Amino acid sequence: MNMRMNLLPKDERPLKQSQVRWEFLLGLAALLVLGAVLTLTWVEATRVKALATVHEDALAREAALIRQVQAVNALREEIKALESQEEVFKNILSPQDEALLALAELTAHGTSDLWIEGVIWENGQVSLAGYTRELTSLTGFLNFLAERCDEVDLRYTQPVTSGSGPSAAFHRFLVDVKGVKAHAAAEFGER
Amino acid sequence: MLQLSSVRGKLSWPVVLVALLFLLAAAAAVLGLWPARRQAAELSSQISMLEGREEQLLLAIGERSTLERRQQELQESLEVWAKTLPTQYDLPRVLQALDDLASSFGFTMQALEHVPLALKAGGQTGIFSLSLQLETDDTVPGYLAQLQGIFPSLHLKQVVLGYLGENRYALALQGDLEVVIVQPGAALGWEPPQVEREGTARLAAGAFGVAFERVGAFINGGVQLLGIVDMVDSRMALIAHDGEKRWVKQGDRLGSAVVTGISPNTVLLDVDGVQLKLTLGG
Repeated sequence: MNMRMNLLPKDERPLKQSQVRWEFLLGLAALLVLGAVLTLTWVEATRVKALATVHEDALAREAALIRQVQAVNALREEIKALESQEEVFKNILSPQDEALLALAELTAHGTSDLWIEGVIWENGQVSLAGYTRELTSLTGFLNFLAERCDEVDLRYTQPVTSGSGPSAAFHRFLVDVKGVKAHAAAEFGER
Repeated sequence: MLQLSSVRGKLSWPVVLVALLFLLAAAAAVLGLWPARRQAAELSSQISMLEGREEQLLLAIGERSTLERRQQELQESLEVWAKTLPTQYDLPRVLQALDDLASSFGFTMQALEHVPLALKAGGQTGIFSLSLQLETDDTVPGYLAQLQGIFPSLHLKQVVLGYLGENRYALALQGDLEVVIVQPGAALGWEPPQVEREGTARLAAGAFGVAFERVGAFINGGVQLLGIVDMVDSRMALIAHDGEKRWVKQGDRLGSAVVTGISPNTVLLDVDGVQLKLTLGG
């Protein structure tokens, strides 16, 4: 019986077919790691390149948008100037005075034996001067005005006698009115 | 020392190669992969920031159409204003328009005066003080409404209306016409609008009476009824007026009065709507 004896040190002995050396495994692992690192580096480099393109596009878009925003800002400034001009125009408009609008309404008293001589409108106040044959007509006129104005002030009445007797032929009067009610002005507007 | 010699003993070319491969992988990671990842992260962050700013810019740009509409509205509005509000150079045309307005109402312009331009604070507007005196009919309210419509910047300060008789009125107006100050040579945009007299408001008939002095002249002894005689077909009255005696019949004029009736003891006079009665011996 032949007896075979391997006298080589254990590390130097040939391996069995099913066994691999640790150096081979380590080398394979190193190759895999290197491959993985290189692959990832390539992927990242590609990604960086793509991102750089996107970044450049975004910068270009931003520049274009900034130009448009500048145009919009210029538009805003122009609108501001136009609004300021419009404000100047609006500020010089004269407010409509209701008392002046209602001049026809205030004088259309329909009272017999009462006549208005003159009317003075000033700063929203209307002064009505006139004369009447009867004081009751004047009372009726004052009631007429009171229905159309907030304030009615009979400033004075002055009897005027004729040469024929002591009783007054006429009474002169002056009435101030303020705060013409809107409906009086509206009635005038409808005419 | 023993250990080093042991390691040296174990070093072989496969081990060195494996070590080099690991070193190479580490170098690739440090010099290639990590900087690339950092750069990518940085770029991503910048792109994200740019996208955020882009959204804001787009929002601002998105208002453009609204702003353009607003600008157009304002320009149209200002064109209307420019046609409505006179400038300091429009005064001659304003005065002409005032005259034309009075004429279109059949009024007589008796005086139309103005004070030279007074600049207001800021220098964007100025004032011409105007003074008008007109003889009018009963369409004064319509005239005033038209006046304010044509000159919306006319600030009326005083309106004085007096009855002259026979449906004629004396109208005096004082006001400040505020004008827009423009540069010399600027285009004049103001256009006097068309006057519409149709359907204009009127003063009530019979509400006004002539100045009391004219009525008073008949009742304070200025006019006296001296006698009445019956004729065949009419009745006549002898009246002393301003120191003169005169026979009058119905329909005759006596100064500003008209004789409207003669009865056995009285004479009726009409002083433009104001009825007066003269009695014998009165």
